[in-house]
Amino acid sequence: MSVVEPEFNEVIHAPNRLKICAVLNTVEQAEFALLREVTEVSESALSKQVKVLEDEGYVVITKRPRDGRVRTWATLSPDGRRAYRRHVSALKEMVGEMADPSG
Amino acid sequence: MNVNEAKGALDSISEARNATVAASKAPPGYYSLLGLAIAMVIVSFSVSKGLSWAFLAAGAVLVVVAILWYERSVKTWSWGNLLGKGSGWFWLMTVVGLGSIVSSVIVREPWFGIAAGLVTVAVWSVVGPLWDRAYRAQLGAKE
Repeated sequence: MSVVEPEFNEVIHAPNRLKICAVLNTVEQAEFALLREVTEVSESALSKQVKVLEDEGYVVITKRPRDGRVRTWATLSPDGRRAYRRHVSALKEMVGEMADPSG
Repeated sequence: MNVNEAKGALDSISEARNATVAASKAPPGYYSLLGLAIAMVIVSFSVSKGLSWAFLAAGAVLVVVAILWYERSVKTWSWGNLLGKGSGWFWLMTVVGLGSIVSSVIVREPWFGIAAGLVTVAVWSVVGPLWDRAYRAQLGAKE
């Protein structure tokens, strides 16, 4: 079991960005439609939040055509995954849980 | 940040993870359709050449239909559970599918191809959802 150094991350901690990272840490890729369902925000608001993560190098966006429309998929980059896990570890430390990064 | 805020953040992470796991469920009948596609391939080795191509083409079409159906229904993508807890279901499906294909190539009798195809559809229909459940359980266990 590897140990993750707890590190609070202001960029990730914003409520919707935290949810986005939680989704993307669970799977390899998620479609924007799911991110919208989970965050319950408009498409433009979601795009802004994802853009912040993308600018930090935490999220990678890919677009793929399907049914005549372009679908947007998001992936957590290795840096993003590391930063997210450190952040979760910091949150757990705050509430007194053992910081177990691997779950 | 205080402890309650940190707890709230961890709770929102759990909710997001649960929603992601729920969205990762394969559509009902998906594994039966894949099993049927493989059955078509199995039968194609047991029939005359003209029919063989028809079964092979039908199998290929069904695979494409199944993949498109899955893509439309599931809003996530992840590597399947190939080695973790419950991955034995996947390997059971693989052994039955590949074993049926190989044995039908060797035997080349219509009755055998049909029987092996039926077994494959049955096993994939029953075991596929079990593997899917194990896959989602593995996703849900991620931190």
